[in-house]
Amino acid sequence: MANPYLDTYRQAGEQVSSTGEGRHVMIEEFNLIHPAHADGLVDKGDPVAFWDGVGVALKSATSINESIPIETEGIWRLSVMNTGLNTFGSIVVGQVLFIDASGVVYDEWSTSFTIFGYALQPIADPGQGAPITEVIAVKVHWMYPYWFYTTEVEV
Amino acid sequence: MDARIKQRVAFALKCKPSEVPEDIEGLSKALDKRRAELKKAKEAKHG
Repeated sequence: MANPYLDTYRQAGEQVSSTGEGRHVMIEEFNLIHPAHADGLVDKGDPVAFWDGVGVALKSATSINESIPIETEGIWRLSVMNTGLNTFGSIVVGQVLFIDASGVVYDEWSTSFTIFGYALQPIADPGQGAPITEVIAVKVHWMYPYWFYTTEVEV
Repeated sequence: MDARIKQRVAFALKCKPSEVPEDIEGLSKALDKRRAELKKAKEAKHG
């Protein structure tokens, strides 16, 4: 049986789930970690992080002081990279995903900024090769990156 | 970049907060480099 989230006509940044109240937060653009763009500002559909918080931007910013609505839950189609650095190599359905400080959503915790959510579609193990990046359905979920709170960091 | 964010990124890059690149391109390259190092270490350990 095909993966229920498989839909080759859909694109990154499109929501799969329906929205609900209480999941949207307003965060000023300068607080958002997001993928790089020519104007340096967050775009609608970008995966974002704000300290321990994560979500998907619902609006493109026009300035760093603009408050941007962020959907902190839901299922989203997003570009996800499998470095193969996770313990088992492949990304499987239900596997935890992370976001790094440059806005990349991927499989490995130690170089990440925080936890982003969970994969709902698999990505193969790249083995010794280059990382594999695919657009897959991701269950976005805001939870704290426990290792930063249990490890002494250099100041 | 905010000092607390730098501290967190420094943990990811295994460097001092003062060594964290300020620009997004530099940061992205540094993260890719760190992941490449980890990949080599994983290959050496598990083959």
